[in-house]
Amino acid sequence: MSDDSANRRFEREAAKRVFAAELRESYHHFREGNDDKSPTYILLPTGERCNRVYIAGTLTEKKKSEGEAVFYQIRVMDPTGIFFVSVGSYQPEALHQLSSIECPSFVSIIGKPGVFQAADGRNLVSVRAESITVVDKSVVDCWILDTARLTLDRIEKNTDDPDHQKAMEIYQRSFESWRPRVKEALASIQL
Amino acid sequence: MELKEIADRISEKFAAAGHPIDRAKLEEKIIRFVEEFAVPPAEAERSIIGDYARQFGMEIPSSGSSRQDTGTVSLISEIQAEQWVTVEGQIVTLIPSRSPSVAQNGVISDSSGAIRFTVWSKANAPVMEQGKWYRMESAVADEYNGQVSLKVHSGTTITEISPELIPEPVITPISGIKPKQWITVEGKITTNFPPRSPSIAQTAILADNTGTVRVTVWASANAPVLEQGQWYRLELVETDEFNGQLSIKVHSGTRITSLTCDEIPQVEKTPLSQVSPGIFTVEAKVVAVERPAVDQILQRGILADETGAIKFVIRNTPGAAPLEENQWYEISGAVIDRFRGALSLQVPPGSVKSVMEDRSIRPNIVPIAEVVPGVVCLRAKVFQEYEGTSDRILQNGLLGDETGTIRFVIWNDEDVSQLVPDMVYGIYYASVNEFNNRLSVSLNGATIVPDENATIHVKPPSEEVKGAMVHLSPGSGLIKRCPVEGCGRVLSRQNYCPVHEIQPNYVYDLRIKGWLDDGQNTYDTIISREGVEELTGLNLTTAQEMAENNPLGLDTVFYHVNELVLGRYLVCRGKTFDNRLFANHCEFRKFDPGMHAELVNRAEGEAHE
Repeated sequence: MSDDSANRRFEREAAKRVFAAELRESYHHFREGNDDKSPTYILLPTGERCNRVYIAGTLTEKKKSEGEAVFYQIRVMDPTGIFFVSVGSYQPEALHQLSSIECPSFVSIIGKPGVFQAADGRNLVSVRAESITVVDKSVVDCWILDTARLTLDRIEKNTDDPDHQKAMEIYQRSFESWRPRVKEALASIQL
Repeated sequence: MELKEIADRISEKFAAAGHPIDRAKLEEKIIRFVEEFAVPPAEAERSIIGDYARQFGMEIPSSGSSRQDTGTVSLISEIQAEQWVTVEGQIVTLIPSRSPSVAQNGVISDSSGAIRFTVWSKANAPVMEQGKWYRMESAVADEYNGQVSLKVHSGTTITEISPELIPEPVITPISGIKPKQWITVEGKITTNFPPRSPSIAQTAILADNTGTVRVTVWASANAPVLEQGQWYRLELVETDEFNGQLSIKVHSGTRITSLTCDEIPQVEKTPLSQVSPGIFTVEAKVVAVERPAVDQILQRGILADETGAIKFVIRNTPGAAPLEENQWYEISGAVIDRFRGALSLQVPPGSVKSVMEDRSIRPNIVPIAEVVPGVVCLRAKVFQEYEGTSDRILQNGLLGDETGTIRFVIWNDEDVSQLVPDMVYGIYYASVNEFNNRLSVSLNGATIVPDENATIHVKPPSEEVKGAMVHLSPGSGLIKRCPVEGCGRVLSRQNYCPVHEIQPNYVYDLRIKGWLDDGQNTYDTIISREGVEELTGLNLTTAQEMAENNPLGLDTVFYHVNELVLGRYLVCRGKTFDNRLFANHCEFRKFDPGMHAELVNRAEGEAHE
């Protein structure tokens, strides 16, 4: 795959699938390269770097911030927890889409995760939305399956990958300890 | 009813602050959150309170979390940190305490799993013995480095469970082994490896008719040597997982019993299509034999029955005898292994009985789309020939049938000949291997029968990408193309073609240009008009009308398509080229209950490769 990368055209970062419980625990972030424009990543505790995420769930809260610039903070719930998502005027597409979405709704979001320090010193992971769409429940269920599969892939992957090693060192937590979250998520789907 | 309570709480809260709330509207809201969107009641309450509070300009109160009760017995596998729990289990290991403040250290196990425990000296708890069952009431679970363990303190009550209440030991089938448990297994030692470390006395493979597992015997176990070919019962072995591979560990607490002939479980005959790694009894016909290339191998070949075929191997060990071609055999205790995705069968000495009656086999022809590594029978023709790249290859290319295509190769050897293009062949007992995630069938050694009167319409190779549409680029929706023969470039808004300049007599087309993302790779994707029509139900004529009757023009089609497709899962079929995808067929992905069941199993840790 990567052997012919020199001939490849622009490569876009894949949008990682991650459950809220895991994203919330991520705090290590880094930049690849020294350039101002080099991509930034957060390192997931299951050992994969992540520059963009695709998430789906229930929009449970939509809060417009006071101030001049239009800025929304929203909460999106998946079976394992809450995603904190922000939508600002730098993402006009998402802002426009959000303005007509009501709470609660099923939504899917593409965005970039970032780590922020909350007032009490805790790390907070929030996703800056690039786009947000109202979807039906089957998309959310598909997302749960997709995310379960890719999370299991990360849990079960071989350990010689450098990002895997790094996650082990930084988070000091076994990958297997994420398995119960995956079970929980799958159990939430009612057939 | 819980929802009513939530409504009561919320309306009281705001009524007290001087803001009465319309009760019917409130209840409708709660029902919408909880029933329609399956939001947990607590989150719904939080969200609704937040909403009203903002509306009335009030501060939003925060709420604390609630505690669980501790009365019932918890399953060890379900214990989470920061819980008070009561467990019942067997002490499977005691570890010497290294600190005066710790009275005992060890592992307690029940049918669901095992957990480490620590008994503080201050707890004044009774001394527990290895192998016995105890109930620990009100122990505290905590977490260190992601490992949950139990702490027995002065508030914990420990009682020994009387023998009649102890659950019967269950024998776990090897395929049902999960990591981090203490279990009893029965099986046959199929392979022994030399130990690689002084702390290990023996490593081996144990198999039953459900699967195989690696066994490690610690030197400290002082266990007898497990002999190859012998059946054993191993009581209280620890299960472990490393790099996705399961193993069981024999330690000093493990009881090993050698099983005699009549205790060995009777293994029923299994059709070849249903065997998997493990021990099986099969009845099959030798359809091909091969000269052994090395001294260690007495014979190789292919066994077949009505359901399928498998490669077999007989090692050059004392008592081993070769099989005869075209003869039926019953082989009991055959060891099935998997190598590079393909199954093979090892015939142990003394396991073979010849079966006199000869039945004819109707070979089970497999559609190419369903081929997996192993031995297969196909009905196919040459779809494409590749240029020769090596003297060792006589012919290679793609074979095809109505369901798809597969790579084939014929190695240069005596008595092989090339396949004739367009001729349909019956190909019997060819071996399929997997290289770099691609299947390839080798025709050497297979029986190949041309069928001169047959024709096959080959389904051309196409790839399928399942992913989410994460971005639609400008130039999606309704577009104008250059009408010049052989050009077809997309025109700018001013009808300008980069090669043929202004083209007022453009032709309309529909397409989607965007990024399809499967979570690992992102494909620069173009979906053709056919694909767009299939996916969105929009056709070229309606799209044109839409654009002509709307002040936004072409943009209105873009927004319409964007709204339908963005952020959704698609299944696209077409051609990939590096990270580009040209798709002609697209549909929205539907929820797949089979996939759900498969993932539930995998999450349980039952589907280990």
